[in-house]
Amino acid sequence: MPESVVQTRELVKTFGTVRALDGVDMAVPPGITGLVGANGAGKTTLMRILLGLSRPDRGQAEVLGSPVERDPSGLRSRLGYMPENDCLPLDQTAADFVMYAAELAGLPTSEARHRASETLFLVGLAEERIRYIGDYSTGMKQRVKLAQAIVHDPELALLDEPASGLDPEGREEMLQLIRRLGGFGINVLVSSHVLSDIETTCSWVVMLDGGRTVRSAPVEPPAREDTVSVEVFGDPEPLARLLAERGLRAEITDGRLTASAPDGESPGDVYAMVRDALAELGTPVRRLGADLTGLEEIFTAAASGGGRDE
Amino acid sequence: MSDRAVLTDRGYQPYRGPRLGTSRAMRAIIRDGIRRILGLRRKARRKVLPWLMVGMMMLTMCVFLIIAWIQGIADFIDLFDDPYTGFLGAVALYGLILTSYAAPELLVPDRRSGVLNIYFSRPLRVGHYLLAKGGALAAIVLGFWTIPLFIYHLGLAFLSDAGFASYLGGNLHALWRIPATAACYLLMYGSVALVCTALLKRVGLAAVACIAVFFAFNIAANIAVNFSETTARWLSLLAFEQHVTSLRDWIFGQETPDLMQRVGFDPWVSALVLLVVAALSGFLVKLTYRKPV
Repeated sequence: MPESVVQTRELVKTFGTVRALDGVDMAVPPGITGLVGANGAGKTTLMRILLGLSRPDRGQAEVLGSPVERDPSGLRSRLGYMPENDCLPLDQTAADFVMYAAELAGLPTSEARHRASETLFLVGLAEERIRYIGDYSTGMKQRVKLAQAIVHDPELALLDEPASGLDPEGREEMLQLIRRLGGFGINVLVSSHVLSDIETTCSWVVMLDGGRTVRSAPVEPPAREDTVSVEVFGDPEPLARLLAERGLRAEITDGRLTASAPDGESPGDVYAMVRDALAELGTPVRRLGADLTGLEEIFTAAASGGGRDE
Repeated sequence: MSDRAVLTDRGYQPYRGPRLGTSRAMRAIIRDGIRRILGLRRKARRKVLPWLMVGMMMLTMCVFLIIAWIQGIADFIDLFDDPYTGFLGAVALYGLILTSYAAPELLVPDRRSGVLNIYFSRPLRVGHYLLAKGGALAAIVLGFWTIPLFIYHLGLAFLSDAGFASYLGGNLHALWRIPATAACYLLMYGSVALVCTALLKRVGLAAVACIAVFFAFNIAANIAVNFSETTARWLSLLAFEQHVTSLRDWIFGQETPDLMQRVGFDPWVSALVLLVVAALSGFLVKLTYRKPV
């Protein structure tokens, strides 16, 4: 396995007057990687270039250690792709279609049939696999799309907005399935414009904005020093008052208390002070930990000019 | 494991077997194409038209053989200039309807459903895809013409006064004439159907347009021949049904159809028209798929 499953250098793609990709540089490590950006940021264009379905105007793309343009067909037998838009034949059963998709990737018929059945079981369509896809709900169709993308055991699956159009429950189930793929040894590049999906699913994130890479780094956000976030059962107000009496700045936002040292002062170990205050008050704790910077804040900062790659 | 144990998650097994590449993918497309045309593993209404045409073909063949049995083979042959071209003339419409439906049914649903996004994410190029679809069309159309014709041929041999083996031995030319005629029908009907498919985006519309083209130019040329020789000649170039009939009759050693005789078109003109239409349809289809997804 190469160090990077995907690597691009100065990738440029223009459609008429619109520059979809404007010098995209990124190196994606093995594992589950999120590709985030607003609609029109260039996510789908990038995926199509990685599949060899579209040629870049300039720059290079390597997938699984091979330049895409060298042998796109050979490379595609090692990839899986789940498109964002409608792409399913409504007059076929899921079992037939996923088996067909496996054969299109070069698997022998008997293996294709077996793996189609196994994969549909995995995505939760064991019972419904012999129904026509046209009779499926949106969530079920998304599962069929995922099944066809992984049925041939690809080394890298490119999933374009897999949770698109799903209700919260369906979205969570889809993200759980994607998280499981990593455990099966399948590298995943999943695009989304919902940052929380990436935050809970991926270990690495590539952020695109206006066709440029604004960040390519681990998802784990940087912890703020001397700041502790705490969520308690019940009213956090008494805890905030006690911490303020002891020289900490305590703010409550949406039921979450953030305690930090005042600027320029160091009253002691903030974490220990919060822990002691909780013990003193006997307040039951739901969550206690370092205050983390969310991806949304990072994306906003990066998109407004503070982009950085690691 | 106890008797009551239930397997709730079988996980995911890595695949270590062979990957057969493009050839496997093309075989899969041909098989899926044949199933699609015949409505196999699809809802019942998808089966109606293709199987109706197959049924009509077989029924007509049975009727011809029953007539031959009742009348005696010598009288039966006297009924037609040639028992093969007579039968082919009777079933040509079924072949036209089936081919007009099959070509768009093979290509249009893939374009409309967006499934090409998935196809071309596999080790497959546009050329492979179109070639495989052409293979599926050829398999169905050639099968539609040759299988009943060979059964008909065996039936005539069985009823022959000369005896089964003598008839077969005396008609060995049928072994190349039947496939050659089927190939002409495939190329002519299939090419026009593919042109309609490339230009129109709906299965029904393309099928109706294809049948209309065959009927309209045939009728127009037959009318024009009575009034203007020049107009008739030009229209006859587009009377595709007459051209395929001319080639069929030439293959079976029969006279050129009346219209073709009157406008002075020999079978080589028909062969040329066939090749031009086939080349044009290939070009148009390729043009339609220059940006497949």
